[in-house]
Amino acid sequence: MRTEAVTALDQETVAAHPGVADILRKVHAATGADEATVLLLDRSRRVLEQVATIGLDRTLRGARRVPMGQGFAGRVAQTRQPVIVDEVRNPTVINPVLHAHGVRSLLGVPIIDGSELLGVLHIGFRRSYDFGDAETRLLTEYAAALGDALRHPVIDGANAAALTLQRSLLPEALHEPAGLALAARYVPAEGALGGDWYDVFDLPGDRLCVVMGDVVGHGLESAIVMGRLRSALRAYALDHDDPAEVLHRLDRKICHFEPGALATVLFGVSRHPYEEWRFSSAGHYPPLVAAPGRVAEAVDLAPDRLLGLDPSVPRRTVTATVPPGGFLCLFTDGLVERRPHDGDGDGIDANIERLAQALAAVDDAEMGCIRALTEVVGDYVAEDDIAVLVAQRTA
Amino acid sequence: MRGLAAADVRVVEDKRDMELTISRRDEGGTALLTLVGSIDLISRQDLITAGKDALGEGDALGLDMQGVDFMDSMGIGALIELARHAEALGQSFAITDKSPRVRRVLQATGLDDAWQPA
Repeated sequence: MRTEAVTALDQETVAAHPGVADILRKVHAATGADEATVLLLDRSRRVLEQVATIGLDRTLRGARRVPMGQGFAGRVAQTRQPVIVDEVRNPTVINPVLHAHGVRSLLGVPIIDGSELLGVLHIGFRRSYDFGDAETRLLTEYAAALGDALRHPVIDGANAAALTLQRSLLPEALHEPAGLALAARYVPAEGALGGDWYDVFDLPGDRLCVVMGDVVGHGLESAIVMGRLRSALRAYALDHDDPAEVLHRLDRKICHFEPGALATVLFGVSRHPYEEWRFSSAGHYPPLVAAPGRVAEAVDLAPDRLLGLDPSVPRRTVTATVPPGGFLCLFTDGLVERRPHDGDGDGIDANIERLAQALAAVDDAEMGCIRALTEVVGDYVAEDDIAVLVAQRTA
Repeated sequence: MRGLAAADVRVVEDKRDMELTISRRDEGGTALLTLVGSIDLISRQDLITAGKDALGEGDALGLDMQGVDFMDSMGIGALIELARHAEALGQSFAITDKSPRVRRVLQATGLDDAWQPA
């Protein structure tokens, strides 16, 4: 029997729970399945995330998150029951990864610890397979073993403190105001942290702010600068109504207190029903706006200088309009800047166009994020952090 | 990764085989560096070293970037570092030629009018 390596998609979790990789290997060996995958609920408890897999080695980075209730794994999680899919069809199995791997039949079971749902364990075959009670019982037992393994992380005191600090730098659950649906993805290039960030927050006077930012560099050092910028921007936004003024002040702050640091930021403000938006860009790609079902267009916003260079540069605020039911998409350069040697000679604008096309074919913000990553990044392993945020007017 | 034998678990890894060739020509006090290839996390260091060496030996630095087929924000950081170094020494720094990729990335970061040749 051929031994296959476990691919750890969430290094931190797999390292903290060695049992996960062991059990996955046993599941794969015992069932002879073409793929075996563990997904866990994220902190918001609304989205499942693939953490480890055997067989889905070409997993698309960033396409490994499935909203609760949607698609196959989402249905297993929501119903807390085993689910069998005899024939994988696109709408049922929302994750394009499974489709791309030619998986034809699937069996998934919930991973439950006590009364708490932790995630989903599934196996799949590239041929049509008749799952019976025996397989379901077997998989359920392995899921119970996973529940045990996940209850006890292998973390010592020093690591625990570092992890707590790191977690404080991760994106928080999205604030969703009435009238606007939001979804976002954050895919760091290295480990769990990087210099990209997105932020959505409200301000007195019914203002809503959206931010997309990118500290030059990645890893822990950039994440620390990012944390400071994220916090300072909120403070300036509280006191200043004009986006250009907010970015000007942020620039002065970074130039003085974090010399040498560089960052790009896109900052937008709006009010219910989120038709009119005011944006300012500091070296950041402008957002895309799409009418429902239509190809998106970039907002006519020529970026001003990135932050950290010269705080005296003039900054401008531009107005953009999002139609009813329409989409607004903010992203960082990691999404559209690609290596020439990956057999793809297209430039940045071709990738922006791919993103614009992807937004024409989606019904909601969550699918917008998924398609942004699968259509533009695909299975290209990015070397820069990627962040994307999609908002849809629902008012 | 603690608790796991390295051979047992394969982590999704990035491929790196970027190359940047730097050639230098000195003309009456000005050093002109011709760059061909990709500027990324690793090759940017070579660019910074070559640029600082040139500034230490001459009066001005020019970069011919027509042959740069890849550059991202890490590359921008390297250019800014060289520009600052030149400024500190009271010397001039300019980009004499840009590839479409370089032009696009500079435009995207609001630097399209920066470092123009005199």
